[in-house]
Parts: sequence; C-alpha cells; structure tokens
Amino acid sequence: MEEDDELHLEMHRAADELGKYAAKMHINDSKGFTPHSAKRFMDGLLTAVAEENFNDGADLIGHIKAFLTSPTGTLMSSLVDPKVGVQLTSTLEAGRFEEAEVTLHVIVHGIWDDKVRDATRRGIKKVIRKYDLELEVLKDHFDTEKSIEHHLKK
Amino acid sequence: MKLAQIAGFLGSGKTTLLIDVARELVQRGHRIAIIVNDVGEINVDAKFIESYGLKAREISGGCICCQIAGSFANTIAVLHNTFKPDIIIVEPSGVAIPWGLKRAAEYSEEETDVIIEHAPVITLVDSTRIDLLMDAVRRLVETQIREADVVLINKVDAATDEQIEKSRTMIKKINPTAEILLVSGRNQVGLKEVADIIETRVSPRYDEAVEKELLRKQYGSQ
Repeated sequence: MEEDDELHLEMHRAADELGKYAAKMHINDSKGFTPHSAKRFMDGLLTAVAEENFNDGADLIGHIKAFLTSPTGTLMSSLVDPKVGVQLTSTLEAGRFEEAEVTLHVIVHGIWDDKVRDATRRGIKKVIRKYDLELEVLKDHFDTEKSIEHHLKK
Repeated sequence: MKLAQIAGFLGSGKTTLLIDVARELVQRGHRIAIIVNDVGEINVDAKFIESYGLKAREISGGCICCQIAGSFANTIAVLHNTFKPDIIIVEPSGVAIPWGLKRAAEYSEEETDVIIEHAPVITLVDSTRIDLLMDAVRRLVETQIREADVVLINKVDAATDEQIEKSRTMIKKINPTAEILLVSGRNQVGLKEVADIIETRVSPRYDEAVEKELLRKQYGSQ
C-alpha cells in the first residue's frame, strides 16, 4: 500500500469511532394510524432506541433517524440530543392508514455495531408492544455495516 | 458546474441547512441537485430531501472520497448529462475528507464533458454539543474543521454564549484561516449568507500536495 493510502486509511479509522445499525421495517396497526398516533409512535421509537443504547454504554448519539412512508404521506423523525427531544417533520394528511414502511438508522458513539444492533432491536420491540403493532423486518443492515472494512479497528 | 460540500459531524444540522440553502438557490434561479452519502447501506436523508421536491441522489455503502469515489464521479456525470444542474450540493458522510472528495468529484471530468468548480468547503459545528463532541469524537471534528474554508457555528439560537465562544476559540485554534459564521438552521439565521457563499465564491481545485500536507499534519510524522 502506498504511503498516502495508508495515511488516508489511518485518518478514516481514527475518525470512525461509531457503532451503527439500520433496518427497513413494515409496520401494521389494525386500529389504523392517525397522523397524531404515527407521530407518537415515531417519537416513542426513537426515544426507546436511544434509551436502550445509552443503557448499553453509548455516550453520544451521532444520529437516530427514522423515515416513515405511508399512503397518506411521510414522516421524518430525528433524535440527536435527548435534552432537545425528537424532531418531527410531517407531510401526513388527515385520515387513517394501517400499513407503513419505516427505515431506521442508528449511529452512536461508545459501543460497536453488535451492541447497537441488540440495543436497537430491544427498543423496537418495546415500542411495538406498547402500541400493539405488528412489525416485520424487511431488511436488516447489520451484516453490511459490519463488513465495511474501514469500520473495523485493527 | 459547481460542487458545494456541506460537511460536519452527525447531528450538526447538515440536512436541515442543505434543504433550506438548496431551496434558496432554487428561488434565485439555479438548477440544484443534491448528493447524500453514507458509509452504511441505508440513508434516510435522500428520501427526506426529495419530500421537499428537490432532486436528490443517494450514494450508500461506502465513503465517496475514497472507497466508492467511482460511484460518486459517475453520479455527477449522470446528473450533468440528464438533469443539468448548475450547482450540486453534497452532504458527505461523517468520515469523508473534503480534499479527497474534491479529487473524486474531478474524476467525473473523465466521464463526461464537464468542468468542476468547487464552492468553499463548509463545515458545520453543533455549538450546543461542543463539549460532548470534543470529549467523544475530537479527532473527527478537528479534521472536518481543519479542511474547511468556512465553518458555521450552528444552533446558536439554542446555545449559550459560553458554548458559542468555546466553539469559536476551538475553530480558530484548529484552522486560523477559516471564515466563521454564526447560523441557526432552525430559525434560518445565516441562510442567505451561506447561499451567497455557494453561489458567488470558489475554492481551489484538488491539489495532491495540499492533501498530503493536510494528512501529514494530523496523522503523519507521529
């Protein structure tokens, strides 16, 4: 490897001290989501995921983001600072919908990918139970995240 | 075609600012495309940006300054040939190196008939979390500041005077030549100034000697 490539790689490794997990999910609410209940769900989801990650040793949120796509619009949610809380941006129209897709992306500092995955899954389960929803994970990106070479400390 | 990078640590407000700046530039008559990059396979920002009616492309699964520089160059070339933007705003991953990204962007000149011009490299710093960030991810934050032409101290509406001053002192120490602006993405403070910077000013093209020097300053000769 060239000297400059080594420097470049070193820089990336030094910089990338973050644990990551991402999942694409299908959720179903037999009672039907309203814009209000969808916001409550997304707020609860991000808060629970953050709590579980902090419980497992994370000391800083990079970001926790989720994007909900439904037949009546979209809902973006983001949590960076627990003191500030979950920020929501909605284009959901009035009315109910039963099914939606949610893409969740978690990046935290202080714990590695496997712990982030376990903590995040616990957070998801908690919220699904709380709101009595059905959930199917369509795609779990843990293996992909893990396989990205320059995430690995050597 | 001009390329503008908006860098910064996760949660620093890049996406919010990028959307507002892009809309401002569209209002001024520019044709704007946006490229968002994440090292993971998923990036939720592109979907969010498109929900504002903006043209966004997502490049995931690696860092566009090195690992997937070819995909980045190809995306620029395709955007140039199909959408014909006059400005592309790039939100790089949190680990991208601005000078490496310049080089990767210029690769697109080999793929199509385009000349890349760079807007000043902009880095955002979250003033409300400055202590946390300097404790946890100091090296990364320092790198992003060191390679910036303009550093935006963001979230000044929510930060204390002490946090803002601490951010300013830190930035000056790391990069004495960087221009510093106070902004608030939430209240759109500084938005027009950032749009002006992207619209009217330029930053040097990739220079291998400069990149080597920047990398060595931080990681070489240790």
